[in-house]
Amino acid sequence: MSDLAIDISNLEKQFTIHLGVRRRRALDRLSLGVQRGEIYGFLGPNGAGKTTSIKILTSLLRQDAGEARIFGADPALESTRRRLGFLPESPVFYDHLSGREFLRLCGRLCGMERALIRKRSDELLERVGLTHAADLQVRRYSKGMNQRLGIAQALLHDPELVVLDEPMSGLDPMGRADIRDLIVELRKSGKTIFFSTHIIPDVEVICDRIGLVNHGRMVAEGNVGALLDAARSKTTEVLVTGLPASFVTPAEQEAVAASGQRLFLVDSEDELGRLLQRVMAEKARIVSVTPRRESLEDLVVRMLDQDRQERAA
Amino acid sequence: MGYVLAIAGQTLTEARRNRVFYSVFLFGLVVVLNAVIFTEVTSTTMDRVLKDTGLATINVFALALTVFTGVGIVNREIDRKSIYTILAKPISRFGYILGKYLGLLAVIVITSTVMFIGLLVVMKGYKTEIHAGIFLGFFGILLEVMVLGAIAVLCSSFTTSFVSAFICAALWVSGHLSTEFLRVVRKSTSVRRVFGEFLYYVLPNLERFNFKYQATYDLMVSERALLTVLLFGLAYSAAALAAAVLIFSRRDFR
Repeated sequence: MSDLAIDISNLEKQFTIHLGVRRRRALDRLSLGVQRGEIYGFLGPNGAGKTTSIKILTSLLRQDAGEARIFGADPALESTRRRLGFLPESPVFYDHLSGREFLRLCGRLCGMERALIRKRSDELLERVGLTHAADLQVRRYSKGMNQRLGIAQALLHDPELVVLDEPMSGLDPMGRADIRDLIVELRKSGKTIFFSTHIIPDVEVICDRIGLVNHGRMVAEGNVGALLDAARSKTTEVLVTGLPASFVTPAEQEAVAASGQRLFLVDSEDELGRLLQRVMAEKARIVSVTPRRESLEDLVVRMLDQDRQERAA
Repeated sequence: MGYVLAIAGQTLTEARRNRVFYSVFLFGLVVVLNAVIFTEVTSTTMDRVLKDTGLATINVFALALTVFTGVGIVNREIDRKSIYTILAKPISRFGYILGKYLGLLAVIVITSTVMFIGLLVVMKGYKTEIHAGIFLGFFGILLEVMVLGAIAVLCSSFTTSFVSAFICAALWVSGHLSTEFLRVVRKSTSVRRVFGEFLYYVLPNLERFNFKYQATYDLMVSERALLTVLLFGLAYSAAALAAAVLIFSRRDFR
């Protein structure tokens, strides 16, 4: 039995564009592995290859080369997809059906018994906050309600692996928090969750591991904490008020601050000591001295920037 | 294969909620108007006119319904991207196409049957005798839409609704003229003849399903001939669906 819920190795995919005259590489030997029972955040800018990878995992696309396996099996097999729940990006459902009818259809497609479909539908509609709109036609749903219904249909048959493409998109802050809690709950019940997103703070809070993809290639992959530790900055921020205009430092040491205050960035303890001595000599007030911690968002932006420069070189 | 019926049921529900069945009322109006007008102008051939125009109207409505519902049955879902959620479920693409086709067939058969019952009621109202021939005529219409429905699903699996509608209309016209076409090409040069005969055997000969003459004059056809026509319809529909499955199974959904 494979330990990996998702195992992607050297995946390649090209699309034809401009009436088939040109080809665009969407995936370039992409490899990644998702352990059973973990929450994996799949990050990257628009067009990086996230949705293409997800569509290969759900058998909506076929790769040109490489391999994608779910629990060690081919996603093209119906038996493999029975273990998978999927929420597409900006999902669209049959708008002539009500939310409850759509879930009934999904349950029948998954081969569930009618009584179980009814029970699970009620539970999930309640869980995603759609009970009040269960009998409303989907065409009357807002974007956020659509997203919630999408999550309900992905979980209906109680899959072991849940693949969510931009699950937070279209949700208000309350809705996002709800989905974050739901994802954490799913992990507690032993599910594996693989999701792509642009909303990096959510990833930082709930993901065990992340993969950062750009131009179809894996730029960085690993444990969120470890990645942040490795990238921890040695910079310290010093916020001062009451300094005279004649007080100057090297340009790279000063950042923009609110009026009347000055913000200095120093990269070593020696520099910090020298700066503090000069400030005290001026009898100015030190508001704060804070070690700067790079957020996951900063780290991602920096890594993508680095990748862009490497490609340009 | 329970999911095939689920997909068929969804297709039927979509047609019902999109008010496709309202076409039945329009049909009723046309048949009653026909009857009223022809009662004024003819007395001896009233029953024949009623049968002939009634079946022709059912044929036109059933064909229009087949083309308008069928040509977008798959590609509309691809364009709207609602297909992503469905195909990611544990179902086969063959099952999806079959479900869509069965749903389309259910829409057409239900609507046509209601129209046919309406025609029988009007005939009864005008004290026209109802013979077995009219059932034969209706059976031919059902076979024709069964074949055209499969062709519509095939077209819908690889091209746009507009192109699909054009192909279906062209096949309907050529399908009713193919016997004449064969007679003409058999008189021409060998290359044209071979090509013409190839087209004749590839394109559906829809005239085989036309029993309106027999219906109007209450003539019957042999069981063997009926069975041949039924098998031809089933085989042609199966071939069109097999082609649809083959194309659809290889499609990428970007």
